[in-house]
Amino acid sequence: MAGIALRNLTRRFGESVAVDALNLEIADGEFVVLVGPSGCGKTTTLRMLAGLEPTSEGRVEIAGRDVTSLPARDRNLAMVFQSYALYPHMSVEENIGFALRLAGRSRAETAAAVAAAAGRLEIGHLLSRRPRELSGGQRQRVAVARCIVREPHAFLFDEPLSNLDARLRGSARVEISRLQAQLGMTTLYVTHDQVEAMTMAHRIVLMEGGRIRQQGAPMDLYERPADLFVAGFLGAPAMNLIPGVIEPGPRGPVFAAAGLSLPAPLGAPEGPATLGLRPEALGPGEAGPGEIALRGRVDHVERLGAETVVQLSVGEAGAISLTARLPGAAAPGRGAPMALRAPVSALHAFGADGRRVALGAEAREPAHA
Amino acid sequence: MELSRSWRVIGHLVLLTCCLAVAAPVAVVLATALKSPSEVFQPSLWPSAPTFDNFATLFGKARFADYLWNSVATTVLRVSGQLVIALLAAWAFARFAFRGRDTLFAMVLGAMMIPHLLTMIPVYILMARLGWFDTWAALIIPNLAMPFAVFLLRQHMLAFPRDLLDAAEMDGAGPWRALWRVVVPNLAPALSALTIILFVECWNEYFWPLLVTETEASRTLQMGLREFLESDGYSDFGAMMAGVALASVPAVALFLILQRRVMDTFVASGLKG
Repeated sequence: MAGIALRNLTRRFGESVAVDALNLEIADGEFVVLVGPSGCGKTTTLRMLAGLEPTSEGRVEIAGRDVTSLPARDRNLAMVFQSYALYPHMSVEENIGFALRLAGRSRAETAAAVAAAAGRLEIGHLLSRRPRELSGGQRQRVAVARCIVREPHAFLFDEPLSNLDARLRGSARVEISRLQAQLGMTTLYVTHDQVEAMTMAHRIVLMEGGRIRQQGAPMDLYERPADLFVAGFLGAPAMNLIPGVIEPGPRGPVFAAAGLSLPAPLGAPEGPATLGLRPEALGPGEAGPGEIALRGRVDHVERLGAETVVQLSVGEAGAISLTARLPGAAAPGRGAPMALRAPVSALHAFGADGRRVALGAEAREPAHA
Repeated sequence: MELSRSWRVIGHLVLLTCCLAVAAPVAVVLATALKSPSEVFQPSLWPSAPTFDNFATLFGKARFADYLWNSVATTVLRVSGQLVIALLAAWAFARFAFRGRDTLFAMVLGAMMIPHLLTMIPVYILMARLGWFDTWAALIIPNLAMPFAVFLLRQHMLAFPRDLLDAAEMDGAGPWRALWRVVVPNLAPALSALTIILFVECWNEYFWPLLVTETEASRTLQMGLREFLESDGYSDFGAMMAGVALASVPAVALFLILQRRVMDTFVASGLKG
């Protein structure tokens, strides 16, 4: 395994810039997830690293060596594709061993390596089958086995779980994470699914418009999103974002928005601002000390068993829509009034420019973004 | 929409008529091949005493074995050459971006529009100057480049799943190995259909071999069959039909062998991973 560095990496398609001067370093053995909405440039970045897409500018370094001008076949990287890209005319065994045979390894050596990789992924009984005879989950395992058999510098994953059903996705996430930890694989994983990013990554790199919006440990991004985009992207259900203004009040500054008046978070400057509140920070009941109170009317209730997601309208004429994630299945019916509370410490504030405003204790800490 | 009974009966009658129209000449050929010379012009379809004498005549009187060898060898060499050249040209057009690619491909398309007969005389003169008359080279080489085959394979290659080519490259395959080890095995249905088309065209060719062959030793089967149609009045139709029946065997056999793959070409909408 080896470290990877992308330096000033740029990809233009005519006038449009898909990846804009991107800089990223991945340490040896690190699991980095590139996440972002469709068209943010994450797959283009991955393909430039793989050598499958030319770069317009910038450098790709693997193990300290500039490989920008090398074709994909000479970069010693392995990739799992979204479609798995298993060769339909080959058996599972031939698929896994193809790269080794191309590299001139003997039949015996290849067979031993294939058996070891297949054993690790528990697909030893499928070796004689063709890809069309496999389920989606089995194909995904074969695609991973095809990568690990080669002992490459790094592993690249291009949305490998998007073709699996929800139950299989969960187990595949665990399996890939376990394998990555066992083998110490340097991994760049591309996904648009923030759950995959949050649960698997050592470090999340969140992209938008060809640029990195924020990178860091998953919980860092979740708890301290650098801007409104990151705040809205990470988390399901998404963070409640309430645009308004912070103005002086009789008992200190208040946040006002569409008939709603809340004590402004400590340290937030006066002026236009957006208040952020995670759905799980909201709880039912009247507010106590150090909490804010919100009253609204229930619009929609989704009972998921262990938790219930409630959508409410609050403020003047119900102009503000909030989502609350409440434990258990107890929630008032649609149209019923509901009182919610949230600790002031759970509030996020974003300035007029959309950037995060450091609040309270955080304002005294070094910045994380 | 379900057809009414009467429409279904009419439909079946139309199809039956079409089948008979196709099958009748085949039946006449087979029946005539099994008739004795005295029965050939009798109105009854089936021979009263079937005989294989006509087949014996084929190999006895005429140099049928030589014709067969010439046909088989030149067809195999020509079709193989056509497939290899078409594959490589199509791969170049589909896989690589190079200066003048589109112009070159437009020329290939243009070549498809030129009637074969128009180029026959210049190529004939070329053969004469090269001294290739009466050789296999004249039967094979002028027809090696088939624009239609290049066009057909290029279209299939353009539709080839990009991920498979990327996977092959990540696995360490260059363009050459990706072509032979990943693309070609997955183009088997298209290649089978193309092989049948090229084989039948070459096998049944009459006019070009007539122009460039001079002696019996280099004649192909289709020309050899003509020997039984004599200009002095007596034509041995029995032997000729036996020859026609035998000449049809390779084409029918090839179709039967490749039939399933050809059907796949029309049935499958794409490659499944």
